[in-house]
Amino acid sequence: MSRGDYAPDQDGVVAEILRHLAEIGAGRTSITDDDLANAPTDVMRELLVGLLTLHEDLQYEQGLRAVAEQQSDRLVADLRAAVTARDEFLSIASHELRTPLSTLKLQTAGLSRWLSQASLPEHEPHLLKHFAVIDRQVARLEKLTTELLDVSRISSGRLELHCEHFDLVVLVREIVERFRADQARGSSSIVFESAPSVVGEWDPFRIDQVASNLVVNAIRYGEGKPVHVSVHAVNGAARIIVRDEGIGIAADHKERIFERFERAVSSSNYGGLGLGLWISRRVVDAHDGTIDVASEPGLGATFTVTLPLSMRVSE
Amino acid sequence: MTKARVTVIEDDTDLREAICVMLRYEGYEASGFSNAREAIHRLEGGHQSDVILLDLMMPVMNGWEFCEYRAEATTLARVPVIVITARRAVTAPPGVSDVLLKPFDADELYDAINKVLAGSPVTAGRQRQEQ
Repeated sequence: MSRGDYAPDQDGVVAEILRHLAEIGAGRTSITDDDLANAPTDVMRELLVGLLTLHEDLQYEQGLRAVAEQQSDRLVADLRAAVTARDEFLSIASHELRTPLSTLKLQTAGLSRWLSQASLPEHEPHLLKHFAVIDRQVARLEKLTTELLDVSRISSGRLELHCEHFDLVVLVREIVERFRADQARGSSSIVFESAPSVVGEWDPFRIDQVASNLVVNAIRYGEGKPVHVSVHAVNGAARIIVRDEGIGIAADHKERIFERFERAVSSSNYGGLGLGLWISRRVVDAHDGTIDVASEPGLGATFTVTLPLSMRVSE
Repeated sequence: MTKARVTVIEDDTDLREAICVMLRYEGYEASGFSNAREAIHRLEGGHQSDVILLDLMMPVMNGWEFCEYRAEATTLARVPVIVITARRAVTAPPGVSDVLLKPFDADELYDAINKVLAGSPVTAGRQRQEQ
């Protein structure tokens, strides 16, 4: 075969090939078996066979792509359904836990009433000790179920703030006192320092949750060294700083610790759901505030919460 | 001395009994019912009550259905209702005086009852008792 085979009508051949290519590009072809059989030259036939093969390959790949897209659509739908199911489950589970918790709280209150009246000099210290543990663990269960409920609430965008006008210094001092009352159990001492008062509009329940959580973490990861808590007003904003001198946080974990179910430590060494900081960040965000951490491994961590004195009211 | 008569409608036996026991410790008269229909039967049969503690999710007749019935029933409509629920976001049925969120402790229980009793008009039953 020589080049001369198609020389007589080169422009026509080129035009025809271009027409076929355009068709193939649009996902179809008009090349038939007859065209192949009646091709004026071998070269033309080979070209047409090549174009047909190209068309079939493209069609095949397009089919694969369509299947893959369908599969990924299904996967995304499945994942969404799984996330919804998980959040619904969390919501139902945490609500269900609240009824037995109510019973436990009432029963411990009943027990406490009897213990305070009972005259059992020989056994009373033991009873009181057992009772104190039960009381503490009920409070812990309550905190865990609240966290679970918060996950489903926050995930589905239902975190509502009930803001009130109050003094942040009073609230944080109360939290510190609460933890100091537990110091008999040998954890870190808490140093509290603050302005005389820092008044603003926030959700007291949620801010208590954030500050308590930071203090719990500081004690938990503080290796028994002092924890420093301070409240001040800085540039028209309230600032809570909680600093420990414990294990600290590696640089690559500083963002991760604010994620859901994430912790910078192994769950085999430290308990908890890994939700505290995630919830805290969401609560602070909802107040238009910020929460940051500065830390060096081995030198402790400093968490800083900055809250505007009142939130911008969206019109 | 009886402080007030409280009707507790809650299907969870342990919680119902814990509430009743804690109320009795504090001097209240407490009667427990495991569903709203049973409570209606007794209340309309002459059982006197100054306040009703009402769970929402219950078999046989739930708390919302109880409130619908109560709205039409003259005897019951006079008795204030405190809903006990685990759901902060729940829509309380109309006519409810207060919502007590689970898990509540004894003091929250007493506070809710006293608050509602202080603010509510004296019921027919109470007037008789005080005469």
